[in-house]
Amino acid sequence: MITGLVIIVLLAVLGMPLFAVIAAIALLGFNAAGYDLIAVAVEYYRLGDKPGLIAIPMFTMAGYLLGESGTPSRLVRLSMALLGWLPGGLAIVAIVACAFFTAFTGASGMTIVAIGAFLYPALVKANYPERYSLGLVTSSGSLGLLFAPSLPLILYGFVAGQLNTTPPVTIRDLFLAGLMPGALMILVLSIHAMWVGRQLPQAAAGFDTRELWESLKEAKWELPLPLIVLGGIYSGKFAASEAAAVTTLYVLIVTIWIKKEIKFSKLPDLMAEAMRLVGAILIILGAAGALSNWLVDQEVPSHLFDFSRQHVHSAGMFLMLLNVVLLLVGMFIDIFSAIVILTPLLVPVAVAYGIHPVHFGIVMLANLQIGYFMPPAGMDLFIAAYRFKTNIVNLTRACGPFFLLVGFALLIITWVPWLSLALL
Amino acid sequence: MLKKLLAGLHKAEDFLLAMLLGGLLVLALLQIALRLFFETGLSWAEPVSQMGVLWLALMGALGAARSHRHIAIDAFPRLLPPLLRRIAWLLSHLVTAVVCGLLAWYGWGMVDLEREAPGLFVEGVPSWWPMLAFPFGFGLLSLRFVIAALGQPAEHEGPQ
Repeated sequence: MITGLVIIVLLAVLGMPLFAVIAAIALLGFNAAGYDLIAVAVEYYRLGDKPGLIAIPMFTMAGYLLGESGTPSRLVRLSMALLGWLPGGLAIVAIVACAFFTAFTGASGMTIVAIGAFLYPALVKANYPERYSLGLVTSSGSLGLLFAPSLPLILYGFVAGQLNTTPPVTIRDLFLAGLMPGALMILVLSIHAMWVGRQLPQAAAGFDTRELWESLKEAKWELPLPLIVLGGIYSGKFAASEAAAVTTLYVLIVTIWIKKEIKFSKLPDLMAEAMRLVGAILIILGAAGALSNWLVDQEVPSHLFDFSRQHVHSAGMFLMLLNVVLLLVGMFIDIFSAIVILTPLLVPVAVAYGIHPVHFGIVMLANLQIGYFMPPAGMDLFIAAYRFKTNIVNLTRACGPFFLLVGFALLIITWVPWLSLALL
Repeated sequence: MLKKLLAGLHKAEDFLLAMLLGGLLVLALLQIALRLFFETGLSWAEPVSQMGVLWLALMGALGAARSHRHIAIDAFPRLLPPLLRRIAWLLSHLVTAVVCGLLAWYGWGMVDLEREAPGLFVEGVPSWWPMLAFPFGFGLLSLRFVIAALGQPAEHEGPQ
């Protein structure tokens, strides 16, 4: 068992896809525990009886459609009219637009490609320091991950929801819980942006009501989106999966029929592209389901709790320690795998410490969000390096201040559960 | 000739994937409409849509294997010189193929078990029929990873 585990971990380091790594560990574990290995297939197959899982392909497709349409530029224009007159206005525009867009695209790196790519030159042209601009668009690529309907948020809701914790975790609660912590991150980054941009000429001459009206009119089809996503769920009319289907329908109608920005003939390609991402995520979710079944069978979460109780005595200490561990994990493993592997292990421990599992989820996601632009494996670093033709070392330096800023917000989110739980 | 055939095959695969997603969307919307306006619903819609997501996952994973979109930790292999990187790629992807092969094999065992005591998936469809997607999906996935292992390492892995 140990030898096998070492070999698998070595192979993981050599680049073996993570779903296979997880499945291999599950096979090994079930075998060592003396079960027929058909059980692994049966557990994996459970992926096919999870109600509501359809929300993931639906929201992903909506996000891809929005990314291909003119939405990013309309979004930037609107934020410009709203915020451009502030000191550091253009940088704040970048922050807000990235956050909104990431909520819909689930931080799959599309934000950097779709928004960062044209805001970066704009920032540099407006005399923002090059390093600041680079760090901003790279680290903003995962900002907004705490806002509904981001994919990591839904994924955590799924995995944690199935653990039947008290209090329970629902996607609906998570959608509310993320609002204030997400807003805090935006606020912290925006204040910093005002400081950086204090002596630069402002992006917009002043607050222009006409331009605001024009940009509002231009974005009138995008504006109802948050309402469709959240309104349906909170009015009790829709389940999260139904809201996802309605959102997708709405986005399809707007991008293809009303705005005509996506050709109907391009649709199958786009859908297939979105589903490849979904396939890559869900196949990890299935494997992790099998693995966590084995972990629970071996009572690993309760051993973990017993062990940590000997060394860590308070919930606060536990959360602090968790921040360190999650940052380390986030450096090496992508957010989707980290969520599906760690949630079943850590949530029971957190609940035993008296931590609300919804607050715990927000802390976990906020941590992993930083992991996105953390060297050496942060996905956004690679995408930004590729997109802006620079190297990882340069990017790491550029992102430095942003680690500290988002990290500061993370500490507040960790220590003040109220931020996550007040709206529930 | 072979290239053309392969391109056609990939196109058909993408189309099927898109159709499956479209079908799931239509089904979900139909259910919502039936519930809101007629306070009714199709009894088979829920199991079919859940199973549809599993098929979607398997087919999507097949597509992801084709375009090297599976999520992997590729920070270390990037640092290796080309030859070693090629070897790491070959090894890790061959083992992935083996793991997929095992899952296909045990998936087949699962189908066999189900056939001994068949339940109903929906009216008129025995429960082991939709299950077949599992061994087939992983069987094809195994094949894809063998092909990938023999090819060049991908420049960029993971979603983008």
